[in-house]
Amino acid sequence: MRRNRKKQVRVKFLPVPAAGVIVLIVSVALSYWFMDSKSGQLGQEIRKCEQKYAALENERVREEARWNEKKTPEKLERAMLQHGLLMTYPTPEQVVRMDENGRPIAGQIAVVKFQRNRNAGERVAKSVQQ
Amino acid sequence: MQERGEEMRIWLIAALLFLALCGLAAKLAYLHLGNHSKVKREYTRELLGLRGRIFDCNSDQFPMAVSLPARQFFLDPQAVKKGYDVRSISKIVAEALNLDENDVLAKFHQTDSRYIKLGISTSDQAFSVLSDLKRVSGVGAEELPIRSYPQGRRMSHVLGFVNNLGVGGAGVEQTFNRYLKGTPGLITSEMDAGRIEIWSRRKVHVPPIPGSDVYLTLDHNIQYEVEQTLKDVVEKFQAVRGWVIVQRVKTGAILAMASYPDFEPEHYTEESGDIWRNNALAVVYEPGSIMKSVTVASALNEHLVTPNTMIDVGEGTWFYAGKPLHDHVTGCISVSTALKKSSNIACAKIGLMFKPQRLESYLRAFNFGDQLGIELPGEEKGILARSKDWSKLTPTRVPIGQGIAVTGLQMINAYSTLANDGVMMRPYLVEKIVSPSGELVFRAQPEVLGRPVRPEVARAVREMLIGVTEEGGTGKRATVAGYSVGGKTGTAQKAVPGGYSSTDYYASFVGFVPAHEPVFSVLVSVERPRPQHTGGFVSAPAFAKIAAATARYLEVPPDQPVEQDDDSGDAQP
Repeated sequence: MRRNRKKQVRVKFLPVPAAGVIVLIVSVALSYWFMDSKSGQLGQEIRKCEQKYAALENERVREEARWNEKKTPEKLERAMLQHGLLMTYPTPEQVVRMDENGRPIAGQIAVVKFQRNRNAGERVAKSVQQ
Repeated sequence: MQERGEEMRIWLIAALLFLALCGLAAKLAYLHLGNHSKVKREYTRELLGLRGRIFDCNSDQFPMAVSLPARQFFLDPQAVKKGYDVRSISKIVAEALNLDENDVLAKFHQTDSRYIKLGISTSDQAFSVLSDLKRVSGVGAEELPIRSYPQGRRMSHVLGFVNNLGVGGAGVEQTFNRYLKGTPGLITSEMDAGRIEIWSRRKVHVPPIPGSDVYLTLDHNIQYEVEQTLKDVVEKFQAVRGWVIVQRVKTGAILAMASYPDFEPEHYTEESGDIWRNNALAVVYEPGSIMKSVTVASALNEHLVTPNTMIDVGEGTWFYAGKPLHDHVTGCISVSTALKKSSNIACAKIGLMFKPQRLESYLRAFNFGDQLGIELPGEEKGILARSKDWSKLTPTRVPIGQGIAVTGLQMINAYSTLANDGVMMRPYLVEKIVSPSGELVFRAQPEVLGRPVRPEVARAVREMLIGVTEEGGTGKRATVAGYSVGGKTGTAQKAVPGGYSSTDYYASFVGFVPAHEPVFSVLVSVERPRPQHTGGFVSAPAFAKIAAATARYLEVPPDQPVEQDDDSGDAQP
């Protein structure tokens, strides 16, 4: 029976303290490696975000400039003309300014013209009635 | 014995592995902790500090000048790697930068330089296309800011331009360069083998500081009307040049300032330096009859005359100091009529009532012969000789705007003074400067320069100037429907060596609206108009158009009731 038994090799491994030191060193190295790679990865992400932010900021500035170019008085005029529109500032006779009580301020061109036309209309109406 | 041998082998392998690990650890420590100053890993990048913006008076809605981040693309023909087709690169470059393909191809054959400029682009897409190393080789890019003027030529003489070095070369860009210029930022770090920055090794990060924003008192809507009108009048009368200023009389703030011909600030090199000049404050000219109001105001202030004082102008020709002075007015006229009809002889005789020193002191009180101190480069002083150097004839010529040279700015400021009850304000066109953090760096305050005449004198002259735009006055084409207008025409012969030109004139009109309670004043001057050349014919209608548009835009209440059935709301021609 004894002859058939497989011969067992008895190896003396590292002493436990030495193995512990090695494991500790390797663990610290692995932790360092892991944290370094993680921080490097985060750094790259931050860098990419910085680049993206800068690119978007630049794009915003350019878009604003493009919009500002589009809303110049002559371009607005041209754009409106393309649609058959012509806008000008109202003439004094087209503007009625109101006082604090919501009544038209006397003496304005628009008010005077309106009153004159109304009086003329009333005169015509009276003459027709007569 | 055999067991011992196996044990030895295991120990040996373990020792070898341990040594290998130690070596790797040492290398790792060396790479991570060592100071590799000799290794070229330094990464330095300058961040663009954009120049500040320039806005008109409508808050930050309408920027007149902005800086844009862009890239200058360049070519190094010697850096094109083998295996790349130069033709296909040329095609890609031409498409990305909107260039002619053959021009780009020709640049690839220039072997005498390793830095050939291709073009500037603000597009990120162009950058990504041209930095694709699989398709493009030998093309590089560097960041730079470019100055853009969204409204093109608008306010070109006020804004000025920025030169290739990023320094303001004219106008507000020059005067306020120290506020407008940005401060670049900096990143110092290390880069990896792919020349990409290692963020965790960043040592310095100084963010860029953009320049401060400058806010003008000018309004781009009024400026638009002014520039359109000025262009029309200069082209219609085939004039050499013209200039217009619109000013608030109470504060001295400039609402619009234009010169024609103008230029595109973005492409300023395409025009000559003569075109860059702001004529409104850099052209010195004899003003002609628009000076008469100043003469009359000074005489009234000195109690030398009243509006009703009668002056005999004779039969239209008056000899003094052996020289004739012609007039289109005859007989005995009042001072008021002299101004309305623009009588040369009457105003010359008023000039003679002064002692020369006193007349000179009045003119200097109106700031003629000196700068007004507007925030623009190139402002001229004008020419006003000292009275002790005057000839016998000079006191009769200066009152009618000869023998004295002024700038348009001085002239409008004198009329604004009359419109402002005799209080002279300093003209200014920068309202405020705001830092990028929103801090107010500068805010303009209206500044009184002096009081050359009493308020009642200024009011009396205003009343007289209303007559100029009424029937029988020389400036009746300057009337604006719904508003009272006070102003004066001026037609001055252009001074040439040895005398005056008989063909070239300065046609001017300067006035204020509404005349009874003035809000703003307008000056229109045109150099060498043809075939008509009088201020009443050339400049007065332009004044009316500008004044009408400005009054409506500023919502100035009309002060004149309609008296006749006039269906046209616009100013009369």
